[in-house]
Amino acid sequence: MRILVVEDDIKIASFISKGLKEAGFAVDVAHDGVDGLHLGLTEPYDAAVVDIMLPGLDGLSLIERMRTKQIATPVIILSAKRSVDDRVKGLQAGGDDYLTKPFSFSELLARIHALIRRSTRTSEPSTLSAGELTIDLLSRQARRNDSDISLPAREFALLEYLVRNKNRIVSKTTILEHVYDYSFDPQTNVVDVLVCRLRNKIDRDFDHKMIHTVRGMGYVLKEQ
Amino acid sequence: MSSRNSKVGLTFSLKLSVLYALFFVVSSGGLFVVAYYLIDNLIGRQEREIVRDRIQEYRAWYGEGGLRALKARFDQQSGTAKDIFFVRIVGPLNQVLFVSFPKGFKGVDDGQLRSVPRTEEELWLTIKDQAEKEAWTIGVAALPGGLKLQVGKSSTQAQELLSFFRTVFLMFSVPILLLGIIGGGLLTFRAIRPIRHLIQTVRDILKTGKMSLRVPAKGERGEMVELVSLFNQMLDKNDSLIQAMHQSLDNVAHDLRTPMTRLRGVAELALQDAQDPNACREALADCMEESERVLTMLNALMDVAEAETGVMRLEITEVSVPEVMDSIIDLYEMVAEDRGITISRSLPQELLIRVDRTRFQQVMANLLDNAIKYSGEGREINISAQAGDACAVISISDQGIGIPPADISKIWDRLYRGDHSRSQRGLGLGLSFVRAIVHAHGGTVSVESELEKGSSFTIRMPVGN
Repeated sequence: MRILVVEDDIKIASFISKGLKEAGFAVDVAHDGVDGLHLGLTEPYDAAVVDIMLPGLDGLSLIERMRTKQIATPVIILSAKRSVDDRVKGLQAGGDDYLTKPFSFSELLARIHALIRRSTRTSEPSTLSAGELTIDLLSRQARRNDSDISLPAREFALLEYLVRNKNRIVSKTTILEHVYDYSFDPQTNVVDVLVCRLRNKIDRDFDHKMIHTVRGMGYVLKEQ
Repeated sequence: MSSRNSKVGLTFSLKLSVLYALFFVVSSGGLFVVAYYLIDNLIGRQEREIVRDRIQEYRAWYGEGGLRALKARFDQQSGTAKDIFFVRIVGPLNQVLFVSFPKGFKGVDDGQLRSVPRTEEELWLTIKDQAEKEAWTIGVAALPGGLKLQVGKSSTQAQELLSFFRTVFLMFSVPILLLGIIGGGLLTFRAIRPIRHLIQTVRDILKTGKMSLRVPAKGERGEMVELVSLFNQMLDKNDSLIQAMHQSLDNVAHDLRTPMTRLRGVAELALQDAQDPNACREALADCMEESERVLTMLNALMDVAEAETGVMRLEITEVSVPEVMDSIIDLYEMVAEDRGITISRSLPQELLIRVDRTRFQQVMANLLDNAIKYSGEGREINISAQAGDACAVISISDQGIGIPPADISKIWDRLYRGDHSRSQRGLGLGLSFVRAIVHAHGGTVSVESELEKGSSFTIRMPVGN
């Protein structure tokens, strides 16, 4: 899997590329729009991460030019602007997702995986598994080591999201977005409470704990 | 830039005064021409009337006894008529049969008189000598037997009167012109005085950056006063907006300093004592949490500022109140359950309002969040909605700690946190956010609270537009 990162801020670019390499991707970095466009047009990528404010050629024009050349590489737009208008503009220009700075790397990674999954259209399996845990998406049932665990809808949705992003840290914000379809932060620990309940059902009776809290970042479901 | 502006002002006032002078001169000239024409006409008519009387008299004499009788009567007449009138009778072949002219009559060109067409019954001629010193009004009338009677009268006096009139006008034309120019200049000067003040004030503001300057409006009347007062009002508004912006910028800077200081402190401590990897991890986690807080706060502050100044973009759509309330309750149900709080609801089947869905959800989430935060175990929170008078009335009541009466007016202030709330997690922005968003939608929010009994927040959102 190869990813193009177009970002003029050297520190941000290097932290993204380092993180992506650690996650097993091959990464090319361009520090301005012209280089980025050149790479995007000549090399095949599975996904691209493009900043909007770029020297040479801005991110939106870059994406537009790639799209006019029939290059369908999924693109995540990075921007410091968080207004709905900018988001809409970015998606209209041909971006597939939009992430506001500052963002957490785990969130970027989760979105890249989602985009690649969507673009390669791997047929959706009806069961997902992570280590001892198996979840059936049709019957909405979870199993761990042959014991059935029945979960209310919200808890199942959270578990599904954690399993899909197994071994990756997911932030509370992304959980809120995916499980509750909420795009803002309620001050009370809604997510903590939900995770706590899920944990009671998944981990309480087992010595090996799967759901871990990563302080300051979110949660992770570890296979091992 | 400034010289260009003054040039524009100058040419405008110059144009205005020239136009005024032109109008003044043309209209007074026109007035004179009309008067001149009328007087000329009047005098001419009078002269003809006199000559016509004569002609009639002579005709009557001629009728009594022909040319002979006319001659006799004419000679009998006193000298006055002879001295004033030129009289001539010509035959069919233009031969002179009778002539009499006053003294000083320098002679009318015979040819001019001969050219008169004979068929005319009555004909008027004005004959002038070459120097135009003398002018004669001559009437021609037919007499029986193919004769023609020509009677003339000197109109020199009348011409002199008219020429005097012309001289007078010429003499007056210079003062009139001057009057026009001076009047135009004065008028323009006065008329554009407020505009000059306006230009001067704007220039001063641009030059000095003093937003407190205002255009003086003393002694002005009419539309100009309105322009000046509107302009001043606009300056007032700009001024207060800038002040508000400064204020909120100051506040944001202040509010961010505290978490930034904490962030810095944590990082500094960790760097000083970098031996223990676990301590470093802890410090990094602290940094993450603190930066998350900074970001949340920044977003909330921006939202409040945007909503308060009215620049927030609202995506207004039709939103079902019970549906939103159900989703909010769904979000907080588990949290409430964990704390032993029950949430009861009395919602109508359907109640539609036109609001920004996300913002409305945030408002409701904030209020419910507060209600849960300040309620003790075993308490109840009641959420109700109903249609009111052209508005939707939504209230969230808790049985929590309540708000001290002294604090009630302050709870809406940004970052105000009552003594009771300091122990709770929060930014102190929730209620100011709630109020700003509700106001931005044209709604109202009110609170009733009793210490230790609970608080009840009521929101009224206008239905429709």
